[in-house]
Amino acid sequence: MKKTWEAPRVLVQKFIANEYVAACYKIKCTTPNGNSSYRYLYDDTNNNGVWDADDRRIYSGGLGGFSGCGNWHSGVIRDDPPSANGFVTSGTNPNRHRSSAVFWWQESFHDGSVDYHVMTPGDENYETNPNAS
Amino acid sequence: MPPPEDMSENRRYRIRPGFILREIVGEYAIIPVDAEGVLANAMLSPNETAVFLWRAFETARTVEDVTTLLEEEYEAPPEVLRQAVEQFVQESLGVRILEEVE
Repeated sequence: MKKTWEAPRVLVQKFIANEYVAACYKIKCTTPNGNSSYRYLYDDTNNNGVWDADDRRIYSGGLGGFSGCGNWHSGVIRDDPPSANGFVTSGTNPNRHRSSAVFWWQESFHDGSVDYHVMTPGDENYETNPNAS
Repeated sequence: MPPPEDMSENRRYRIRPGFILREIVGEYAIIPVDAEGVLANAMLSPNETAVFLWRAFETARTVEDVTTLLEEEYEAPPEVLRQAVEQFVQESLGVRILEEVE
């Protein structure tokens, strides 16, 4: 017995590539002005590019202050090249103390502790590092 | 759109290399391995009669050959079957699924 005829049809399903790619960066931890010492690290919480009272304080270096660790860190995964997202400051008053814009990121350890690093904005302080992550 | 193909009786057509036909739980899928253009990053889901045509053209055949195969398998007027084969050939040549064989 012959089969019932049905017109041939071919449905074409296209797969659209996901163009969202996070890149891996190698970043040098250094504070602005020749890796000089600062007292506090603030996140630019309101993303206005200016250190002000709305920004969240992330880290305090105490009386001794802090500077960048000077090391290149591999495996920092980001959507975009690192650019300023916070500030290192000499005090806590935006109206009185000096500040410099930085890119900051954190590294978490297995014991739950967190280490903060800062990068002085500039092409010379980062490079893509595709094999590191 | 390319001009209509002259499908004279002695012209033979065959599925081009680079396509994989698989049956998966009763459904068929055709995967272009290295296709370009409209079939790049695509998967084809043929119905049963399209699978029949596909398998028929896995061997180089003429439109007449495949129409005869369809007539043996399906209940339909010969002119309807021939028109279906011609349309399949026309469209498949257009997206480089079929090639003409010397």
